[in-house]
Amino acid sequence: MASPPQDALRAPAFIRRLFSHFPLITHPVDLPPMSIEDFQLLSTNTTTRQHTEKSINNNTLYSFTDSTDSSIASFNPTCLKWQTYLKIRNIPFKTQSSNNHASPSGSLPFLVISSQSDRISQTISSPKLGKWIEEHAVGSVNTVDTDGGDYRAFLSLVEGAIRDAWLYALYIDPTNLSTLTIPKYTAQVSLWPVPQILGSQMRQAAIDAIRKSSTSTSPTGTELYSKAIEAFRALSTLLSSDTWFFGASEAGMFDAEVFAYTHLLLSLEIGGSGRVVVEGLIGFENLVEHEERIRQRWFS
Amino acid sequence: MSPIELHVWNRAFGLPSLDPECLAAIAFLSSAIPQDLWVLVESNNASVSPNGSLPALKDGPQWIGGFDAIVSYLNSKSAGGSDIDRDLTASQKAQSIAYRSFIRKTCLPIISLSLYVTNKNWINVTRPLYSTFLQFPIQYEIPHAHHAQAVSLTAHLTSLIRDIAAEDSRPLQPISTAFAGITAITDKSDKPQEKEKITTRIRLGNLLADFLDPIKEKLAGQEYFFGGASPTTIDCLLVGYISLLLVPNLPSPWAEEILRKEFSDIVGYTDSLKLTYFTQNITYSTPDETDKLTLTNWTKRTIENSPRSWGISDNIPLNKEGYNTQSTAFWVVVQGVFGLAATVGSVLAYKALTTEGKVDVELKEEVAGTEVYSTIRGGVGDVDTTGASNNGTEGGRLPIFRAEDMLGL
Repeated sequence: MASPPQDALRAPAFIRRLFSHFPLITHPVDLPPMSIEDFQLLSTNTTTRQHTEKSINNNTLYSFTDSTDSSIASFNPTCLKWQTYLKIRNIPFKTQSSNNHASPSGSLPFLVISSQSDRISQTISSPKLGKWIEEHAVGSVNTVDTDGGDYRAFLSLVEGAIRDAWLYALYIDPTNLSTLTIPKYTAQVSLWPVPQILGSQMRQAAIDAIRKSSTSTSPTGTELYSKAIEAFRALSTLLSSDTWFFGASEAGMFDAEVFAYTHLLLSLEIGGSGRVVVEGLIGFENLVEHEERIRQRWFS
Repeated sequence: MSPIELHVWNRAFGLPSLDPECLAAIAFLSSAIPQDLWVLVESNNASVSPNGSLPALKDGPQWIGGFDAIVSYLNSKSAGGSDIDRDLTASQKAQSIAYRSFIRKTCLPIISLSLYVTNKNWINVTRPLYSTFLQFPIQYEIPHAHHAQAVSLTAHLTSLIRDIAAEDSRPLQPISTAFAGITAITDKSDKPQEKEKITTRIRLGNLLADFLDPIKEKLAGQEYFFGGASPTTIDCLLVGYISLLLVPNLPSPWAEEILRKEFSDIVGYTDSLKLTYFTQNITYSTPDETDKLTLTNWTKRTIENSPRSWGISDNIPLNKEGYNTQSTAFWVVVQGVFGLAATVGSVLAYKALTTEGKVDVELKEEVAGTEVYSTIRGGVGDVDTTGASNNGTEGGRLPIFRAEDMLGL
């Protein structure tokens, strides 16, 4: 009658049955970090040398994008700005769709470079990207002084009025939020409530950003749009009949800054209230032509 | 015709207003339209403005809010007659727009840092200043809101704020002997402290240079920003902003010191413009009864804005009307919730008062081959009584509802 003592401690049958299913999956063993010599040895052994060189000699720009082809424009202005500038400076790279969680700094884009000489990949976050490009790209004929007063003043228009109108059109306007922004930014997590939650978080972030940069306590969409159109007018006057901004003989950083917004405003199918700013932009022919020049040369 | 009223924040520091945009608007009106056509009103009431912030212009029944809107309104009203930018070339006009945005973006954080976020200045000068012109409960809300705005504008300068605070704080007297040792150590290391003071000063200098270098480059010794013989709107904006760095007499006067030391030509430029605009005989007027900042309209505004300040509904509508609908919608919802709660409450109260814990139960039973219906009123749970009262053929069987009864078949 008296059961052995170990029986009393045994788990009930159903629990034993349940636990017998675990682990569900056994992943392959992840090797500890290896030295460069080991890595070289391994790569020469397992694959052909040529293939290795090709795969590690690549720069990858992690950004909000739909494609790994670097001539497909990102749908985020900041990512597109750097993508364009890398293209302008003739640096070969491929793009990789990513999100904020992947970035060491929490913001996109960032560039992962792996060169043949050091064989260690290095991550360049977006604030340091400009400096890295100056050091690694072949010299540019664009010698516009990025510390000059006019440069910084006009840049503040792009980063102020135009950015605010972009945020309003894409994140606060409900039409574009649901048809463009949410599907594009949450493509990786399409499980039902997640895109909606992320969407409302992005919307709140946009509202906070606009409130912070606005001089009025109760800004309105109409006001933001008219300021953006005023900014485009100023940029159009600045460009006048030149090919590139500030009369440069080759495209530069400022061209990339402007293109990042003009291209997205013109190419995304922005609806709702955002049409106002798109129509406004179309009115400035030289800005539209400027967008076309960059698009045809680097994004086709 | 009654003169145009310019509503601004109160005078302070020997300047006609404590807000850079208001000062800029005062400078603009002084240079654009004759002195007898406008009056300055220190209403301190931001709710008069269509965009919720001062300066605001009152022209008869019409209200215009914000410096940029005031400039374009007066230009179009006078058909270009008061347009002080009329002599500028197209490219200078474009620059004017760009520099407006540049000045706001770079200088506003510096002013916020100097007047509001540098603790010593805020506690000793700016905070008490608000109490001199605002009445009792309001003098706690408005400066708090302005301070919060300043803090958010300087959020990227956290380490600098900490350094200024460290520099300003005097070595504390030991509270008890237990702390004497600790303070003694800090006292000894006054050399590194001195060094820290210098690096903080350099970083503040860089912050100011970020804003002032392009302006200096542009001015290049000229009397006005775009050369020429008369000031333009950008001069008005600059004098409004730089005056607030230069004029206030502060206990931690880093902004003024750096300006006087490193940007003497900008000081000269600002002083001469300031003399023209801010010491001139500005005609002051008192606000109309309806535009005054009273406890009543302050309370009304606070209630209207409460959905936003509580973070319940935060939206930037497309039009100005959107703010009203937003606020109205919120209060309709609040009323609805209260109404519903009241209705449910009264129904429950009525129920509780009228029923005595008894229910009517309809029974169907077959008694000697015929169906018999009977309604019994009884307390919940005392089924025994119903069974007993129904003198049925089977003594102890309880009349229990069957599932199909519930469907009504």
